[in-house]
Amino acid sequence: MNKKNQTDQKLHEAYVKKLKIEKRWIRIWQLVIFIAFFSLWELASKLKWIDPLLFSSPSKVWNLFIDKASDGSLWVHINVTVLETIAGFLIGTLAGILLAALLWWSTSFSKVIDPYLVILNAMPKVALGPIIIVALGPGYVAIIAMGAIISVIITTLVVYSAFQEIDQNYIKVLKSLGASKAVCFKEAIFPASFPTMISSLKVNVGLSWVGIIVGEFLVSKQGLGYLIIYGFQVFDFTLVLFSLLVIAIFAAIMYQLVEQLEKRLIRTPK
Amino acid sequence: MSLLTVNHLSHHYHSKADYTIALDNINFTLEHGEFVSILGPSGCGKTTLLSIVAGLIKPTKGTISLVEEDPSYKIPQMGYMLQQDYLFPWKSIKDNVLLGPKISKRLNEESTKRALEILKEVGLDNIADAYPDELSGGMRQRAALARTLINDPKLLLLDEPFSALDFQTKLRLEDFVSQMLKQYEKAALLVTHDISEAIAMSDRIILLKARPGKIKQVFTVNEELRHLPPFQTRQHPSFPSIFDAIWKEMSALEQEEPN
Repeated sequence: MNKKNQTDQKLHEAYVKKLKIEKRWIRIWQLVIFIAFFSLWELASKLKWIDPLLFSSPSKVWNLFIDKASDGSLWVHINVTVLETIAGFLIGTLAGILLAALLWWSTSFSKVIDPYLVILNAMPKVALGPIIIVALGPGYVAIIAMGAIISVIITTLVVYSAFQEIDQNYIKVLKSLGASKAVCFKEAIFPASFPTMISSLKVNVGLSWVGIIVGEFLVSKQGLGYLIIYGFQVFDFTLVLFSLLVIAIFAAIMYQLVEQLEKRLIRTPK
Repeated sequence: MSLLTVNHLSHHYHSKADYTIALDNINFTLEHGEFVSILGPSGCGKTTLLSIVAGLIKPTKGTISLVEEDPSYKIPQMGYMLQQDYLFPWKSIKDNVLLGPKISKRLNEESTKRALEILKEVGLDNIADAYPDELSGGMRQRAALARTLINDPKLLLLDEPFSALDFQTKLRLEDFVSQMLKQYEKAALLVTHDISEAIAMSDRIILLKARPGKIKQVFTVNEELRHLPPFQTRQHPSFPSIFDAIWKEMSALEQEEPN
């Protein structure tokens, strides 16, 4: 008996070890791609395979990072853009969910408003930029509005369809227990739509960055979008590429935060 | 006075092109502590009838009246069990059972204690904090029964609650539900298309015919079978004769139909 247990235990250990090795290999390959990309870039730039004026090189970008970090100007730009993005993201997502709840609450309202939503969804929101800037003034408010408006309609449509997809028998159960419409929403509709809301959060992270950067292209005097457009105008592509890398890092961080939220909100089956 | 009186009940379903008569002039009563089954082929409006009795659908004609001891009593007098358990997957078993008290705003220490008592009755007290996806089908249906019983309803509406289970679990759960209903002195209205199940569980069987849903015949299960648990009823020598009688009527119904 005891001996049998030991062999079972060994089998399990071997399985765990195999998992670990598999994971390590994935990490190694990810690292290899990372290193290969940057060294190839550096090499190509040094050997003039690509035009170093246009495509810069990792070492130049790194030096610029050291400069910008030491004179403190980098933090100002990052601060501005990240705060704008978070604000646009939150406003867009919350307004979208709220609007979806409103559509769910009143079927006649949703029927009336439907064609307008379709048009608004199909329209490229970035094209509204100039009007938003004229209406709200060339500043943070307009940029945040750009970040929000780009995600609000799509969030509304996706979350509303999730609200409608719930199995009506859950509502039957709640109503037979005496639940009102508001209670049905709170106990069934809303929690059942968590997975959809999380996936629309993930999409919205990317969308709000688009809105904010375009907004900064159009008006700002600070921020990473501003650095890109400034670098473009003075033909400093090291600055452009540097800003791009910073944006990539912060967008990835925001995405990770949403994934952490997902782990907290959604119970995974054992 | 009867616990439930269904009086001249009719229901129509409308679509753009057409309408169908789901139920046509249904009349019956249900006494305190009685178990009545509604038996019929699919499309005879069984589930519609149950939804109307539960107050989830408003009938086009007719009335439903349920004796209420105290009109100010805000908690629903009827409990509803569906084909599947419909436990909320993001709530623990205990929280699922406590849904009734939560909705009628009676969530307190007493109701929590009561929930644990009921879970003990249905044999699930040791997994009160587990989630529905960790339970087997039979356990889930027992949890759903506990959720219904915590509101202490006078009448249980059962919409084929055993149909999604495997045969052994179904037989065991039939005995269990029957025993619980006797113990708590509840009346029940079961909707099913399974003749054996109807005989095994009920005191009376109402046979519906389809299109439009109408009462064809009412069978009364004889005294000796009524007091037996469902599993023993199925074994009883007089079970086949009543089964045959209902079977004949049901087959006759199907031959009447043009399709």
